[in-house]
Amino acid sequence: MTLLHILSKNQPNPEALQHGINTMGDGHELLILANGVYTLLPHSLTWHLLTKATQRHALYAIKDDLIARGLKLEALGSSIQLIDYSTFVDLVAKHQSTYRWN
Amino acid sequence: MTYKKKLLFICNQAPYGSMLAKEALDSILAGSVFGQDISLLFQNEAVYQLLGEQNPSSLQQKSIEAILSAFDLYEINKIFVCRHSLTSRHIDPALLALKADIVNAEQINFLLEDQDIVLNY
Amino acid sequence: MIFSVCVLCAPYTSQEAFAAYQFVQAAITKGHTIHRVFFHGDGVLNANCLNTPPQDELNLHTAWVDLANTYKIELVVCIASALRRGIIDQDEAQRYEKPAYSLQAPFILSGLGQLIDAIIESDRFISFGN
Repeated sequence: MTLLHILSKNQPNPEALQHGINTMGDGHELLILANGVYTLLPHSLTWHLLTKATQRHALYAIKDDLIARGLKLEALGSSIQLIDYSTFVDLVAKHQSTYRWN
Repeated sequence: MTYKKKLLFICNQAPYGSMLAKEALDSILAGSVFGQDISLLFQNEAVYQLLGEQNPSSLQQKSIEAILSAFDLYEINKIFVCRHSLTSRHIDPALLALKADIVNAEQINFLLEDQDIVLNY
Repeated sequence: MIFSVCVLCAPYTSQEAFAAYQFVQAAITKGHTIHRVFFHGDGVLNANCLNTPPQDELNLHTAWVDLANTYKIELVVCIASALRRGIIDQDEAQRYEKPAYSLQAPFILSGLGQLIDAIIESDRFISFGN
């Protein structure tokens, strides 16, 4: 049984973010949306942590939320998968449940 | 309702600063009344719901502590609290008024995977 | 798959109120069934038919009404949360002798049992706006 983890608020504290990452089991995936995308500010400490986490878990972000907030898509790195709500629905269908970090 | 599901309610909100903490507890009680197998995890700001000696009478709000203390009567006794949420807020577990199992990240993972549905409040 | 969704936040207070709508719309487009959308806590404010945003802004209430009428989706509003926040239908307005009502079809007032039922009867459940 796998879960889709969700972060929808900014979390500037890297320790809290790492705790969230540590709750992810095998096959779990993370979706970041709304103000949560601020954790993906390229080259920030939180971006580094989350990018590193993609070695074990897929990480998705709602593309429109990044664009709205002026975050440079080309600087994000290829490990973060930019998606729309159609793929969001697929992710919820794929996993048994969701778990929010905030 | 013809069958029982394992529901994990996850509370994230501190009490009294908004109604969401109380309204989450209403959902949990509804789940129990409708015969579901309930577990409860307190994390983030919700760990403050577990502090003792709460007295919200001057706020004209109902006591979260009193509501939680009645959960045993509803057979809601699988209660967990996130260790990281406690330590990052410098809360001594001895201050917690409600009997709860303190869980680390790995244990939260096991708890999550053991459920049919997770509800995030 | 059968989905149910719970909305916990008010429009304008949180982007997630719109995110919930976008999710439901996308699920329908993909051919999934929406068993119920349940509005709880501040989420009941999405049901306010008196919401009157500027014409060049999103009217989320109207968007929900159109979606529900087109696809026959149940929009259920937690009565306890709603009464607290002044989201009342005509019957409740009369019962409590209020000067106006703020909720009408397709939104309906009901209890938390409808949330539990939605969870039990669906394949997938997701909430927005905690």
